[in-house]
Amino acid sequence: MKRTLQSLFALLFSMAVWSLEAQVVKGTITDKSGEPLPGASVLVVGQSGTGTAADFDGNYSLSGLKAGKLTLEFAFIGFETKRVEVTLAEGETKTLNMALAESSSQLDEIVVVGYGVQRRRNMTGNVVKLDAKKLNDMPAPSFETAMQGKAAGVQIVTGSGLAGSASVVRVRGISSIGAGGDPLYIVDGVQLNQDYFSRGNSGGMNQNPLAFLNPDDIESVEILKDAAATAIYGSRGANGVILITTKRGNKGGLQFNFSTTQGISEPTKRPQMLNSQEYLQLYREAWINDGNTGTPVLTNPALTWDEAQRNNTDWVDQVVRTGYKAFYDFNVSKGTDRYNFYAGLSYDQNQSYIIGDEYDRMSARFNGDYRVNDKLTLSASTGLTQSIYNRVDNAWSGGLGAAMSTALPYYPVKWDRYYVSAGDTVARPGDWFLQGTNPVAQRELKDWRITDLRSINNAKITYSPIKNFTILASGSLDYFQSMEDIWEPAGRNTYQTDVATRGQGTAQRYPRRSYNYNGFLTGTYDWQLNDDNKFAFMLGTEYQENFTRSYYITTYDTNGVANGIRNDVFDAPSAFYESADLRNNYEFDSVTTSFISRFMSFFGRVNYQYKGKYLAQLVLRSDGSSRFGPNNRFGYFPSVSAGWIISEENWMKENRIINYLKLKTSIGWIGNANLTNTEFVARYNYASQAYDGRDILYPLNNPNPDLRWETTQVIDLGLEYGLFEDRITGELAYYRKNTTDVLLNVTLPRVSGFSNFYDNVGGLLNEGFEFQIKSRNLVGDFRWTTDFNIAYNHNEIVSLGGYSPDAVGGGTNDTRTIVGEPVGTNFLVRFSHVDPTTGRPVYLDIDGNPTFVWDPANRVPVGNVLPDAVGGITNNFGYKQWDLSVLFVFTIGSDIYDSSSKRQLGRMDDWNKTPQIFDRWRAPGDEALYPLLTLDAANHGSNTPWINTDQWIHDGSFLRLRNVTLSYRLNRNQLEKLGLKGAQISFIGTNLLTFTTYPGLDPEIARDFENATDRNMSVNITYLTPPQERTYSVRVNVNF
Amino acid sequence: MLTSKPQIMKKSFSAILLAGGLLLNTGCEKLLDTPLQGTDLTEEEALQTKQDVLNVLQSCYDVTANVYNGRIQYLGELLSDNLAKPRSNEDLTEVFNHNTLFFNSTIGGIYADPYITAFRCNRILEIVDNFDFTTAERDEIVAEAKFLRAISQWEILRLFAQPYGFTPNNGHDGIIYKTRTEEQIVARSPVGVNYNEIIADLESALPNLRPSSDYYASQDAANGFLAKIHFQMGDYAQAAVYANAVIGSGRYSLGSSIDRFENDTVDVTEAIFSNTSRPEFGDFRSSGFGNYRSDLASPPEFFASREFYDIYAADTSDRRLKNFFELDESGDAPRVLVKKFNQEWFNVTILHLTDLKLLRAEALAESGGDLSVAIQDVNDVRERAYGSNLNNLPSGSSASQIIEAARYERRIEMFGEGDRIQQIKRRGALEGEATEVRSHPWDCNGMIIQFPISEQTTKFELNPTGGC
Repeated sequence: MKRTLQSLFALLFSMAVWSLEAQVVKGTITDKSGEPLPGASVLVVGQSGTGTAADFDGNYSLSGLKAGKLTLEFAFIGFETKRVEVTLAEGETKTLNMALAESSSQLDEIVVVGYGVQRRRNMTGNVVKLDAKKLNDMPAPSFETAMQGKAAGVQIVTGSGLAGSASVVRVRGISSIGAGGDPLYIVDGVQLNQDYFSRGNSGGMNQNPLAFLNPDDIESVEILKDAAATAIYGSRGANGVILITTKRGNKGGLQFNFSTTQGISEPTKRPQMLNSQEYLQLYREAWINDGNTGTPVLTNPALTWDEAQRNNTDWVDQVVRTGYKAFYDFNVSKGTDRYNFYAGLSYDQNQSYIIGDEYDRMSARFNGDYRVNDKLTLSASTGLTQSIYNRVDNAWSGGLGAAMSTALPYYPVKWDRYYVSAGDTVARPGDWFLQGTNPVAQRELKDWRITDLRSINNAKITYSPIKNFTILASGSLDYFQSMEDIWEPAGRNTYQTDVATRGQGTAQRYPRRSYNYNGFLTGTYDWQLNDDNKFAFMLGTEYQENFTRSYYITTYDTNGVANGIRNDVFDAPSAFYESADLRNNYEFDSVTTSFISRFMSFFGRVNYQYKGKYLAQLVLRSDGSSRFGPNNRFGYFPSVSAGWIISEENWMKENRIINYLKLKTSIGWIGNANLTNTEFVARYNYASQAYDGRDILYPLNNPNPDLRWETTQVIDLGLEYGLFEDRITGELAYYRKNTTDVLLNVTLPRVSGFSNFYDNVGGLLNEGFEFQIKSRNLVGDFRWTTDFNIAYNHNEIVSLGGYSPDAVGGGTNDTRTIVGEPVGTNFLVRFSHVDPTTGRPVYLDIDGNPTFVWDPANRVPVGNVLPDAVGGITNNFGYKQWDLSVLFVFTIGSDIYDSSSKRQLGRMDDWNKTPQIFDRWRAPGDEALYPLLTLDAANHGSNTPWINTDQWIHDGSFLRLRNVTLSYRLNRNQLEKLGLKGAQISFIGTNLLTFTTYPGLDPEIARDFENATDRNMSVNITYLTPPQERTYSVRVNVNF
Repeated sequence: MLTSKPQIMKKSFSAILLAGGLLLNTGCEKLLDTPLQGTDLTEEEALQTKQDVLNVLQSCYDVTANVYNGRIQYLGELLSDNLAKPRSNEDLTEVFNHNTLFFNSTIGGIYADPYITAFRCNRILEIVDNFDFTTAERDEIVAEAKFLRAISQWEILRLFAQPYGFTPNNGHDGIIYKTRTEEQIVARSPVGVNYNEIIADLESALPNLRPSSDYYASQDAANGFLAKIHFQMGDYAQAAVYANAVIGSGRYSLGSSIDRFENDTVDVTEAIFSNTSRPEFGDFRSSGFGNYRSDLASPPEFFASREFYDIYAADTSDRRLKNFFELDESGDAPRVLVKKFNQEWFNVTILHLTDLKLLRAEALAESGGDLSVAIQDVNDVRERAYGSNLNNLPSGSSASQIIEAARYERRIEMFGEGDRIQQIKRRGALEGEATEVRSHPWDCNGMIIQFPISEQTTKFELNPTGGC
């Protein structure tokens, strides 16, 4: 009996085992074009825990299935989930290949939000997610430039054509004047230290603090726009938050990926300047107009009139080249149940079209997660970047800017004779011409290099003691070391000299180090009260400290040992300042400045769902900061939001057109803490033996102990929609951002004893609409999708606390702040016409009456640099292995102030002119665009040649073919022959066409800024700003 | 013992709450008080001892020395008929043209300094009682602070507002006279009010100042400024009283040198109040006068006007013209070079006996005072200029002869000191003398300097624009 039972059990068991192993479904998961989808999941519906993921070839195998009917669910991020019914006979092995369609609605995609992730369907905030594919479709020196035109309400003005220049990013308009207007950037949970002025605007450019990130390392970028999304960042969320998530290893075997991009760069538009003969002809005309006779006397006495006529230098040619760009990225990744990692190396050689300007970046990244057990996971993310930026002067500082201004065409590059001045032989044949602006000599005689080392490191511990409850502890360090070295030789060819100090060389080093520590602790708990009521709680606390120290070291050499200094300074094993040899051997001035700021925060978030269709969220953050004045140390930033998935209502479920509809709204109060650190405390400085041999102590500022963050009340109303089974999806949003306590760096009435004062006195309003639609126009073999977005924004200054329009100055002071007008209003004297009788310019006085006198008291608001609307349209076409992506971006309704043209088309003096000046007054009766040529600005109604009028304002609207990418992917057969898992070649062109009425160089303008106020107020002002670059590239991407 | 799930959760949440609470409690609030970095000091750190307060006071003298380094003086000279058109400086040409625009950064810089002095002085007045000074020490500090803020702001008032007497009640716009450090958006006060404020400060300072001092506030200096201020107001009797107090002290004499712009090695016996340059510390305070220098390779920015030169040219025995001016006829147009300030550096005499003597002479003549004293005052100046008494005013000269002579001497004696324009305005406003400078009437809009645009607020009205 016993044996019988044993036999029976054995039989049953073996049957069970046989049964477990016998039924198998396997196959390959691909996209519609046959590309494998590694990591795609297959689950047996209703059998929790039964499932697998496809390997790198897209292969999967599910064994141990029960015989009979079952439903398999195939899913992959970015693709539509598909369910298939399968009937398995006992012992059957079935092959089931699955081609998934790309999802357009991505309603179920996981979106990274502050201190966590959320499923898009359940979100009440406004967040745009851009995945790696959208960010890597064009070669971008820095990732943010690739976001342009792809996210509604996010305006990105790419920095100039210079390789390392910073872009201006604005989320839903400008809600600040004196504080930074840029969004907060967070990389893998680390709040970045983003200083746009680490190098000031030296050389006519602001260096990009974001360029250290290798775009190929980025998995996704999430842009948080409304209060529901940003309130969790409290005092730093008001300008929007950009969350950057870097890549991690996916499940599957070792995967290697190599990509390279090779390309060339040229200016979008080449500056046209007069040649020597044209210039001198106009100069003679001015000379005669002024009542002079005989041979004109040149403004530069170093050259004779005859000699000038013989010279003809095209300075633009001398500074512009075809830039070469090369990018290489290699990464390896792997993922198992226990661990995953991603390790990558990249090298980017980025030459701009300006000779001598090259930004090279080497970066390494390692991201890994290790699951110790079901409850504990350890994670690390680390990135190390070294960049070397070889710089040249530009804009107002030299280079192409000089070629467009004071490098006159009759100046030679080098002397062809002896030049004797006051009895001294100043130059010999072959010496640089240094008696006037010479951008070639400036470039060749000045070595200028910025070497940056940046490392962002983060370690996390995730602990889940019980189901649905997770504690996350995170610690990170953002370290940034920057060395700026400038060397100019001693000797007769020194650029930086006039006769008096001829021969002096300089060696300068500006070390700068910044440490940004960040630690946070969060606890999250998902609580399902019952089927209808679900809660998610998150509570956290955070500490952040930033410490920056910079030095200024400069040494002059007049003893002709310039090479010694060069080697010492450039090849110093450590910071110049830290080298005892250098300190002992050279005299130098050293000035050290350092800053420290701290934040301590406490935050919480509650999400609630009722029946999966009614959503609510409550967020509160409290920030304490050393940046706030003693009277306002802590700020509280709440937001409340709600959502209603209308399409989940029974009465909507049958709707044939609308398959998804969500209404959401939020209100919140968010801050901007981009303040300077020390304006609230009375600061003094000491100087010994300062006057009459006695020491002095003197105040540096008038303190403002009430200084605080700006507060923006954000109201948002949004509608997400999906039509025709998600063939058409998109989002519509309205927002109103009311900023109070706007921080103004007020240009104080001098009666106060100081020139500047930081005060929270202003009010600002931003109101706008955003519309985004994505349509899958064609599906099947020939695929066509269109993604369009447009955002309209109205900006208005509501109050300025009694200060005048001129009280709020940026550094470059290009625009003004006027109550009732937008930030960045052009406040100028109106130019009326050129008087046909006299050729003099006619201006309008404050009452609109004509006058020959240019008087700044007659200024009125005449334009605004902020656009009414920005947006983009992307069309993707696919046919078999070919893909074509075409991105247009546009800007509507912004004005450009071409600040350079007041000199390029104004008084005839030491600036070269543009050919537009041919339309000038020459004789009584002439109706001309530009006035008579003269050497005396008084003939133009002013004491100076710096005559700002609305004549230099132009419509800055443009439509730009930003990017065209044609790609070819190898199919499986081709890949197998090559032994590869994937390969793709792309041909990419950027900034290929621009449609605009702007007569200047390039309508997309981010000039160099002096400070945060400038950055808010002077976008779209060009002052010898280099145009953007046009690039042509080939990209090859190989997986193996 | 097994811990239940809610308990674990509760504990963990409590831990986070505790951590957050700790961060936000007052103990940690201290952490948010980050120290100032570099060489900056908080006021608490900077002002700990009595000497620290004195060092702040010294910084007021430091700025005042810069105000008087030639810049405030040349703004006045440019407005007047003493100078020719500046050679190249566009900002200064605006002043010369009597059409200053509010973007003029040179003016902005000069205008700012007296108010820096005022802020520092006012801060001292606000905090001085927190320190353990004796009453006498305290009173002197207060007096010096009031003296400095008064003279600094008077210089601004004279250049940026129409003069005393421009309107019968002096209700026309003056300046903001700063007596507190608090930031306030306020309107300009009437000129009459400004004069009262300035006089009140000097009067209040007077008893507590030391009797005399080369470079620091003194009773002599305060009396001297009060004399000048009352003279400008047309209160000639009172002006003479204040001038008497200084002249009568016997501490100052005209000496033999006609040059009162000398370095420390020369005793300028007539100097009542000066700034000082200390080359051993690399500290030079006469740079504004560098614009006149005709002894350098590059041409000067300023030339004397031909009109000025011609008034004195015939008088070849006047050492002042010969020593201090030279007609240069080498170029296309003759220019009058100024040699008076041809030195690398010197102490700038701000207040001197010559000024007070000529002032007293005119004041006595105007107010029916003792004319013999007035004649002697003029003759003292003339004897030094000519090295003899051959050009003296005869005794028994009439009041109007004295006035005429004093004015003649004053113009050449105080060339470069910014005095001429104030005399034109005084005589225009109080005596109805219709002087024109380059065909612009003394009281036209452009004869006062436009404020920097920074001053404009909803309450502060700039001067009328459009020049003359």
